[in-house]
Amino acid sequence: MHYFITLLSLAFSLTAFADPVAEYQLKAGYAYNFAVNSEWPESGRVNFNFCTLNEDNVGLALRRFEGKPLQGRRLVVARLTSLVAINQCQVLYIGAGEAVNLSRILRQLGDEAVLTISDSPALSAVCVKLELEGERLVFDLNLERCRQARVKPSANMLRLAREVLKP
Amino acid sequence: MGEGPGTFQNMSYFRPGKLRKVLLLALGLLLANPLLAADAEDIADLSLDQLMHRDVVRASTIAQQISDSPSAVAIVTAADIRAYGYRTLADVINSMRGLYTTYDRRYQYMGGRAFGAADDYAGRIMLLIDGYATQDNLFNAAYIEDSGLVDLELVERVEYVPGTGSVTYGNNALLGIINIVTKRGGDFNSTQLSTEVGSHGMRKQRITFGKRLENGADLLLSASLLDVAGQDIYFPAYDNPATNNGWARNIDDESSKRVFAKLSFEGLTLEGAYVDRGKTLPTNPSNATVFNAPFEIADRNAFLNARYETDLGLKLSSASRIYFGNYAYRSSREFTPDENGIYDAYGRYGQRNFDGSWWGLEQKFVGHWIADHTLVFGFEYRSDFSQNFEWRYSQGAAQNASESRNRRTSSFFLTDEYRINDEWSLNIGARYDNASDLAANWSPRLAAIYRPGLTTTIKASYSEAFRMPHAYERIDYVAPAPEYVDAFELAVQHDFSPRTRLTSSLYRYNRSGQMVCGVGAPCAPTGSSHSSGLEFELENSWQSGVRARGSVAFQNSIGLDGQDAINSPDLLGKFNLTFPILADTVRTGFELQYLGPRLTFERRQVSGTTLANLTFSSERKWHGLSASLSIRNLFDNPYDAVSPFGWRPASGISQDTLQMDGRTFWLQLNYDI
Repeated sequence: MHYFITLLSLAFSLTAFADPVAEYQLKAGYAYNFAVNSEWPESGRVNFNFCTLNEDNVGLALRRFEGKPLQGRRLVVARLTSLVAINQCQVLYIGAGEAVNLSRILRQLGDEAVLTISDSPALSAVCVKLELEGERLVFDLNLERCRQARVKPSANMLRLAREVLKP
Repeated sequence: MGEGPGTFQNMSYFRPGKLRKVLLLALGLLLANPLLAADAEDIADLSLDQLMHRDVVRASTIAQQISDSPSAVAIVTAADIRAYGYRTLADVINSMRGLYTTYDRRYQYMGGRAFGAADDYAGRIMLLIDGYATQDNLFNAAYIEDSGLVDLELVERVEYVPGTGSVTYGNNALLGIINIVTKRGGDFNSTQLSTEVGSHGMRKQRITFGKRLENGADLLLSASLLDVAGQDIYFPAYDNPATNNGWARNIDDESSKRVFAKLSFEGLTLEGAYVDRGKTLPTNPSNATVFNAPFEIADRNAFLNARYETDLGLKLSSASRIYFGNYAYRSSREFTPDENGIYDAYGRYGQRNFDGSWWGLEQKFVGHWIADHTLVFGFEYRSDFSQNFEWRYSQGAAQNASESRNRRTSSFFLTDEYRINDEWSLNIGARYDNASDLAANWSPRLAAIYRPGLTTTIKASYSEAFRMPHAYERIDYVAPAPEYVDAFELAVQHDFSPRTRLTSSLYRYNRSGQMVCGVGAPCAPTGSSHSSGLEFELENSWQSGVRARGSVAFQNSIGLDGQDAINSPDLLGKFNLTFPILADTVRTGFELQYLGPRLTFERRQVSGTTLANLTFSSERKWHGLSASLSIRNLFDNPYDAVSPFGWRPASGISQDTLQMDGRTFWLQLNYDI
């Protein structure tokens, strides 16, 4: 019995290692940094609308960024469940469940200056695609899609991207 | 062997008190870990370069609930099934917070919050396989042992949703829902041959073919054969020369055949399963039958389910289902003659042939027309078109009997999930069920969900559910009537870190309309009972592949007679630990299960019992080979289960408990072609 307790104690003390970051928090951190590292056309808006579309976990993780200055404006997080307001967004993080709606989303966005992000393999037609690779989170850039949206990723982003799809 | 029931507590390896300490200590250690961990720095302050050097803890590290339910769900994944060597659904259930099963060497009966009678055919629980409700339409029973519909190797996850589910599923989702999600063919992507051997002459073979085709279609086919020779078992209550000195010999065999098929392509899924299980009963389940004579039962279950999911535009999606099910029960028994060796009018032998069939269709829509509202609505029609019972006796046709019933049920449901703001949402819904033999019934639910951040979720809910009398009760009772429950639950889930989760739940159930059968009066649905409890579970997953889960459940169930409920322990504890050994080639799975003292039908107390199970499984395939070895009841603790047999046989000795198996072994070898 005492062996058992000792073993258990040992098992539970094997915890001293560097803090990894939870998936959704890391994704939110990436998304925020994509916004920091990109350029939008001039706009008179006061708020910077950071939207998630049916992606509540990333949306919740983004809340700790709320109120931060971004592109000279105030960051506001909006967790959307329908396409109605997506044209008001500057960043749109699209949930995996929206794969069937992707063409409609892109059609509705047209050339609105919206940085589209997704982590779903089925949503590769977005500007920034996130992917888990082993223990790391990596991203690919689709410059044609970004150009259509008139959003310009910085050289830093181009350098850090795993893959850059050029127009 | 030889001691009367109740004396084994002295022999048990762990004393209950000691075990409780161990469990609490284990839980304490689990809890201590996240509190010691330093608070992570704010990722909001990190640059992209810095973030890219951080390791990520995948969201799937701790399994996320998929059932849409405002209660504290328990999850067992395929990885757990393998790591802990679960062979039947009953094994899975026994590992879950606050749940236990009771075995009478005939069926496994499930117990948990507010239920657990030793002869309740898992019947107030709904068992779903990929959305199809599997209960038969004669006893409303869900089968969780070898008469269950699927081999656990085909199961991706099992979720247990405690509490009522009538708002979504209607009849019989009274006290909980077991939600089984099966694997896809692509998860196997091979033909797998499997052979198993186990204690008491257990043999099993399985062949599974799974493939995901180029066009996206996914196919899973599987078949298995089980054969168990069984053991000779001693029953103290029959220990006299007239009944073989208490020994039941050569009547514990079991066999089962299973077939499963699933084809999915785009939104369409076709699925079917078949199981036929036969068991000879070493226990004597009736006071009219002979001990140590073959009493054979067979349960056959089958279903076909077709499901089609599609989007009807941006704001509306649809799920359609059509299903067919069949259940057959056969049994044969030998009756006891009187003291002069004369049989009564029924003769020496009896047979039962029961058969039920049903079909149904369901249409469900999910609409997003109104901002911040998600509406789920639809209807279901179910026809239990055949419910046949036949009793045959060897003494001739005069005593034979048969009964038939049928039922048609039409149901409508509507649920609105209203997101008030970022933190608060409401879930309001009701389901209307109208059965051809009963008055219509409404099952409402109201839930509030508070999610102040990514790491914490608090859910409070009030709901009402009901259960229609099943076909056998409609024959048995003069005035069959539905049974009701209203339930309140407060559930809190908090992630201390991405690798550590605490789940806790506080609940109260009030049941009413329960059948009370007095002496000399017909049974009447006038009974009520209630139950309340508190549960804690802590789960942790380490980067090194170590996973641990511990839980305690305190519960207080008051039965129909206003006293402590039968076979309902006040305390349950579970502890699971799995870790890789031998350079990550073998995984060890260790579990401890504590079942607190509980009362028998004779209101005797059975002492608390602790069971330990140990499993070694290969972590990776080696040239397509994988293996698993399990030792159940590791410390060979001969514990007692509460028995459903409330009468005393001729010896006058009570048989209100049954001794369960000591240590058993199970070995599985798989080969992927």
